[in-house]
Amino acid sequence: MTHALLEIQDLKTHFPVKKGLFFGRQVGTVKAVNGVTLHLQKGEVLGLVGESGCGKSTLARTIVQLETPTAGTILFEGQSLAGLSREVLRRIRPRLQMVFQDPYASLNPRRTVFDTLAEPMLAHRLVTRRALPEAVGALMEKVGLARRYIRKYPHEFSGGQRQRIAIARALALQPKLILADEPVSALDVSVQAQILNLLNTLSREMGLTMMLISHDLAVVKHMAQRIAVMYLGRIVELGPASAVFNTPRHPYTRALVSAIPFPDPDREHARRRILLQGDPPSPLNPPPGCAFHPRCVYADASCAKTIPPLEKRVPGHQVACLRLDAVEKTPVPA
Amino acid sequence: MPLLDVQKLRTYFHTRNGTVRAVDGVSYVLEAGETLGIVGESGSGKSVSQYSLLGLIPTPPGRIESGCARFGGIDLLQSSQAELRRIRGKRISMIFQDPMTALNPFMTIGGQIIEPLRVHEGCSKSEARQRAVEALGQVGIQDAATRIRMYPHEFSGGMRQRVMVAMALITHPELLIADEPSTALDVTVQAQILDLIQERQQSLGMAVVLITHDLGVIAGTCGRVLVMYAGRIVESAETRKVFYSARHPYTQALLESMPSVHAQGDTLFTIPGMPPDLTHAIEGCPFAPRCREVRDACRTTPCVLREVEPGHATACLRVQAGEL
Repeated sequence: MTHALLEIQDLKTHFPVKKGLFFGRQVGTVKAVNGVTLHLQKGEVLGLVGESGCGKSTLARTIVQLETPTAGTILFEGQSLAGLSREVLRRIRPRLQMVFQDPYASLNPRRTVFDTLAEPMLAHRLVTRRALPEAVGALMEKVGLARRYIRKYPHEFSGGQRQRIAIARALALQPKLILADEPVSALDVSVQAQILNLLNTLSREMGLTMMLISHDLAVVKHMAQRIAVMYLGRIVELGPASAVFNTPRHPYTRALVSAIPFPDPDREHARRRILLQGDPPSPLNPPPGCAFHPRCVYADASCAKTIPPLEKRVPGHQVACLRLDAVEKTPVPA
Repeated sequence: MPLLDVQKLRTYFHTRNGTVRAVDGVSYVLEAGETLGIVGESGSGKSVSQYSLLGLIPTPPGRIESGCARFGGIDLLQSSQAELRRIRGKRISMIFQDPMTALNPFMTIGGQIIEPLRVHEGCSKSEARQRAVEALGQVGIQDAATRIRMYPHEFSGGMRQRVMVAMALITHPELLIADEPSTALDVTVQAQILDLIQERQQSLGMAVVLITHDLGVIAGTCGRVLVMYAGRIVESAETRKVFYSARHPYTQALLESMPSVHAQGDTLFTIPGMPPDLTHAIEGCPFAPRCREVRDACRTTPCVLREVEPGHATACLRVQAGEL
């Protein structure tokens, strides 16, 4: 039986909210990830989009075991990651790497490029000390940094170059899966394009599997084969990138797509936006039933009671909405 | 007479590491009621060019080296702090990027909204309160009479930005400067705020300067655009012209590098190199080292913004010479 590279089944990550200074009593639970099922095939780029607080970063952090899941299973290459000893986890970790949003915060300012890139390789005994300079140099070239910068510190680099270092660090351990959490949102447009191109080339050449997390649907659509849309801890739509972008089915995805400003004045003036009412609700106190129903124009009484399951609508395209028949009668916004 | 006429504005920051020429000779006019977009990457001087007008540049290290900014017969750059105080928040209002840091966490929402009315219009407390409730209602905050007693931390990001809009517009200004008003917000909330600013603009008839790095936001909201690079305006034209017939190679490159204009998986167009270090004087065109159309003359000939066709100006020497 063939396994997907990563299989997530009904994953939940909840955080207790405590009140009081020392011996706080629990006053609530933030259900950051609340029942996510997701499969990643080898070599696939999956885009994960959603607004702030929807749990997309927590999902990534749970996959790499930076957070402990409350419930559910994560299978990586067929092996469960839950409850592993630190020793075993340490052997698996190199294969799962993360790239963070802010390259100003994710690099140690007191370490040179060499130190930053050499450490993981030494710690996991991938390279001998003698071969290190060559290995680090090769890694730098792979991400488009000149070897002569090897002794420089992070502050000597621009934001885009720092993100290249962060990507090189993730690649140092020859990972199978890369989780990139908003890798370009701290960068200017022209630099964004450079980093996206780099990720694209790398994923193609090295056969990397990647989960690209972003709030920017345009970025995700450009990179990913499939897109998952998250709202308040759950996936509400999952399907081929072009289908999710061009013919979104969930009312939330429709609003999200319609809110993206497009750099074309004629198209912008011709289109009619779906303006959602209000803000995304707090994950501390999510609405009952479908979490989107208070902002949804299609919602009826049943939506406030039942949590809609993620169901296959057409092959390969899943949507979690009880009122899909009503939604699909209205045309997709331009 | 235009509402605002800025000529040859230069704002430099004198730091230990040298003089940063943040805004270096910027001239433009703004007509009453129009929406002008200023687009550029971080460090291009788009915010400083606006903060300079309102005396919001920290001095030192900042200093306005030259220029004038005529606003209804007054030169803003020559005005005293007392004169500026009468204009700021009354005739010219501002909205900032991050509504959490722009609101005072120790004051109630109501207290902050009525402040401009009490200061500028000498309203009584009860009248000011009445108008504050109205203003909050106009920006789509329900139950305003209760909400007015709440503090900023009790509001979400989108609601706080609505409060900022209400506060900025309560004195019915002639000009609103919005500095990345939607950048810190989620896409669906961003759409709401931009929509709100446009709707309030139409009902009040004010002019808006919208500073943003997002060309998509410009496309949907602005009538005219200034493209800034390295402290200068490199292109200025009506929005449709900037998007459909950009003349400056930088503007063209910026448009081409946006992911949404590319087919999925295509290699995105990128601009090689980095913006110049503004502590060094730039002799020729600041974009020359990264430009695909560069000629030797571009590196040494000073360039100025010139009209190449009615209403469309560019600082590119080669376009001006008719070569591009």
